[in-house]
Order: sequence, then C-alpha cells, then structure tokens
Amino acid sequence: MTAPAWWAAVPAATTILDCGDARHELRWEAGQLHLEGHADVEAERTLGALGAEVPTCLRVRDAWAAHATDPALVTLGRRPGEPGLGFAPEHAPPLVGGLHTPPKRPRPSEPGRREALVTLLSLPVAFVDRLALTAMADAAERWPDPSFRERHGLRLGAGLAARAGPALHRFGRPLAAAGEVVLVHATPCPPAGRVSIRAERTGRGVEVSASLPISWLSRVWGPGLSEPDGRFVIALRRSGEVDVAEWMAVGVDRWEAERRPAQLARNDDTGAWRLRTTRP
Amino acid sequence: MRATTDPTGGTADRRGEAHLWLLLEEALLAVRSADVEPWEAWRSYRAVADALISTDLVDASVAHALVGELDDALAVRGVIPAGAFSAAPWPDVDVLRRPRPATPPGAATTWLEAEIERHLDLLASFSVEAQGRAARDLVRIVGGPVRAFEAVGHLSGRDAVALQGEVVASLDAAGVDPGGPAEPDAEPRAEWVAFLRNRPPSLPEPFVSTDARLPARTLGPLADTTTRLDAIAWTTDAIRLELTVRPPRGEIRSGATTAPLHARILDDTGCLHLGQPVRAGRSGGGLHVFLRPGFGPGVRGFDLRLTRGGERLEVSVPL
Repeated sequence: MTAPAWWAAVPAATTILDCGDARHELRWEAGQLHLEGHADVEAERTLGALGAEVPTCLRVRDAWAAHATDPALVTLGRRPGEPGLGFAPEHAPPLVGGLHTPPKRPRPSEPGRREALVTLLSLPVAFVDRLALTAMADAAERWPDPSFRERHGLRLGAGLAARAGPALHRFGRPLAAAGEVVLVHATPCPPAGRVSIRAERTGRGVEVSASLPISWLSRVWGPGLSEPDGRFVIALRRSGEVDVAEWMAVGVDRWEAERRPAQLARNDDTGAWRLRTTRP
Repeated sequence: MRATTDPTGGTADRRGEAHLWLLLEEALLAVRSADVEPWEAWRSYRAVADALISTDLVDASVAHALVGELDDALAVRGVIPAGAFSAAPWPDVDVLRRPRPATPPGAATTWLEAEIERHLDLLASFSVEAQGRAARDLVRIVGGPVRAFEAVGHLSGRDAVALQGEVVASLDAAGVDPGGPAEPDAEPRAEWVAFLRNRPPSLPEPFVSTDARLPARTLGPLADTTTRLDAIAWTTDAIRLELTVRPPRGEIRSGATTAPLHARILDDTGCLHLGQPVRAGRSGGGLHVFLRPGFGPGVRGFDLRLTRGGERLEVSVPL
C-alpha cells in the first residue's frame, strides 16, 4: 500500500468572501480549492475578458491555480511558532483592491504575479498555510529535476532547515548534558537519497546532522505530524502509520537514529496527534 | 541552525547564496524576538549582502533578489509596510550560473579592515554619550560579514576571532564601551586607539587648504581600475585627496569596480587619517576624498591605502 496523498491528514478549511453583492463560501479540501456560489465559472470568466468586473472568488481561484506551486511560498509561509501572517485587507498595497471590496475598474484578465500573491496572502491564515503546503508538495514532486534543484534548492533547503530545526533540536536534547549546546544541521536529501539522522559530541556540543526529503515538509510537518508525544517523525508510511526516530549509540559520543514504526491516533478532546510504538 | 550541504549539486561558489538563505531564516526568527528591533535585523542582513557583493562572493542580482525575498517575508508578516511587497521573480539559472571573477586571497580581511575604519570615522563624530551605543553597533554590524566570510571559506576562524578581538580591544583601550570583554590575548591597534582618543574635529566646510602637493602619480591597478593621485591638500584639521580613476576598457565588472573607494592614510608620525568611502561613476573620472584629521607639523610623508571591495593598493608618498 502506498503512502497517502500529502493532503490526506490536512483538515479542510473554509472562509466566507464578500463577492460583489453576495457572500460566498471558499473551501479548501483534499488538496483543492472549491468555490460555492459560482455555478458557471467559465461564463463569468468570459464576461471578465469582455470587461466586466471579475468576481473576487474567481480572482482568488485564478491566482491559486496560477501561483499555488510557486516556490517563493515556502519562504513566505509560516515557520514553527509563528502566530499568523498575511495581508489584512485594509493594508493590502494600493495596486490591488481590497479582497473584500469590489474592484473599481475591470481587473486585467491575467493579473501579475505580485497582484496574485497579494490576493492569496490576504486570505485567512489557514488558507495561506495550505497554499504554502501546496507549494512544498509540488517542490517535492519536482525535486528530481536538476534544473529545479539548481534554481530553488538553496531556498528549499533553508526552508526545510527552518521547519525541521526546532524539532530536531528537541530530539537531540536528551543526548546533551545539562547546559551543553545542541547544534542542528538539516539539509535536503538528494533525489532517491537515504534519510539519515546522526548525532556526535564535538568541541561545540552535541551536533545533530539530518538529511531529510523535501516531502517531509508537506507530508509530516505541514499536517502537524512531526512531533506526536514528543517523538520525531521521519516519514508517514500509510494512513495512521508513521516511522519515528530513536537514537542508537554507534560509538563513543556518536549516535544514529533508527526508524521505528508507530501508529497515530488523534486525541478527540485536544485534536493533538498521539502515537503508539509498534516493534517489528 | 546551519545548512552545510548544497543540495543543488552545483558549484562551490553558491556558498555565498546559501549563507544568505540561512541568514534570511535567522532574520525571520530574530524579528519575532522582543530583543531584536526589526529594522536592525534588516540592516544586519543588508550589511552581509553588501559585503558578499563587494568581494564578488555572490552575484549582485542574486544578493539583491534575496534582500527582496526578506522584504517580502517581512511585509507579509506586517513587520514592514505592506507596500514593500514586491514579489519580484527569482533569477533564472542562467543568472545563478553566471561566472564571477575569482575573489583574491585576503579579500575578506581587506574588506573588513576598510569597513571597520569607516565605522571608526563615524564613531569619532558621536558625542561621548552616544559612542557607547555606536561602538556596540559596530561590533554587532561587523560581526555579520565576519561570520559570512568564515562560512564561505574566505576567513579562517582564527583570523575572524583575532580581528574581532582587535576591534573590541581597541574600543576598550580608547575608553569606549564595546559592550563586552575583549578576548584575553587580543591586542588593540595603536592607530585605531589614537584616532578614537584624539576625537578629530568634523571636516571643515568649506575646505580651504593651507598647503598642497601635486604628485601627479599613477598609483597602480586596483580592482581592474587604474588610480592616479593628482593632488593632496591639507590643513591641520583635514586632508583632501584628488584622485583620477580610470576603469578598464570593455565591460565593467560588477561588484568591485562599482564598489566604493575607501582611502586611509597613516603618516610618518604614526597618525591615522580616516574618512568615508566615495563612489566613482561607471565611466571613472575625478574623485575628491576627504580625511581627518589633517597633517600636523613634522609630517614628511605617508602611507596611502586605497581599498575597493576586497582589493587593496598601498603606496608611500613623500611630501
């Protein structure tokens, strides 16, 4: 059985948009954006091309379709611990009309990248999170392409390090003595490369070096699966099953993390993920 | 946090870009801290980007694109005004692969010493009360490029510690609070200490010289330009150098040849004279460089150091 789609563990999100004189529901579910209240999108698009005002919902949908896989979203998206981000409608740059007000003149049929990103980043943060996850998932798909890696590899590597770093730091903490520094170096695996997590005590402290796939961002970190019960999740195997990391000593002051299968369950009261380790 | 492996499988020259991506993440972390003023985080980032551009350790368009990426990330977080959001596209691989001139050995130290002296000149203008904060800013701001040069392999850890130690020790010896103790074996630089202690007055406006010489001497090549010292004029408060800079024929190289020119003089009485860098136009031409203090009695000659980017030219000039 193959691993589930990256969006399988990401809950749906909904919001209400002021769209002309109406209020329409915008919903993200199963990796897709859904519009309610626009029965004939193509007809409305044709009217827009002829100079009619383009409804807000269509602007959002077109911007999402065109830019949801933009690697810049990995840089723009939230890092661990950030409370929220995005443009408040009243603070959106003057070039782009407020998301919840009708545009004063017909929108161009293909808004530029800046206008589209501002539109998307003016959505509620739950949508911005899913937008960033979409970009991360697409980056994981394109990772085997050498020219994609050459152009975006350093950006994605830094984005992976920023999101995996805090969890890896907590994972390495038990290896360190009281007051000893824990340093983390997290880098992306090359295509078809092996995941590895190692630790070594050096003159600088305990240094944790991790090589993780880019897909870890969308499949593990994004859905909030990276640290159930304080354990570090390496990969999602199939629905409800993960590989967690456990330290094994491989020498004096040297450790390697081994994979241990475990089952996930969600706490009904808190919504937090919990796990149960299963030994092979 | 440190990304140590370039996942692109590209050239080792991408280390400068890799370091700036790492710093971008650190800047985003820093601005969430109550201890860091967001604009200071941005300034520190720019200081490192400028250092790597000036020494040709990163392509200027790539570095500027990265500054734009940080701007956008800060704008979407409400740290800077939303109008700063540009969404400028990331450079194509052709730009990322563009060959850059090799950075000469010692470029990092050369650039850092000029930058430190630029700050010392600014520091000397502050009141005693403001100097302490300015000194701590100096140590912090210079620390970013030091770390960057170390990360890209152009400054050894030992040299980094030694240079930073000299700065702190010099500030301390001059009676300026550097914000922390110097390394135990760090030695202050005598000329830096004397410059700060003497608190040279501001440059006079207008400058009316009391003496002058016309060496009309070609000093030599500097970062693909040729510089000539046409004239030097002075008072006891200030020195004016008149230079002519001629760029090479053909395409002007990015980075060093458009980097500002920094001049400093150490005269034969041991007095240091500093000023602010000046920028020549792309087609070259004449420059006036002002340094302070001026020459006192008994000066018979001086050592002139010109720095552009990571390259340096030193000549002795008799008066």
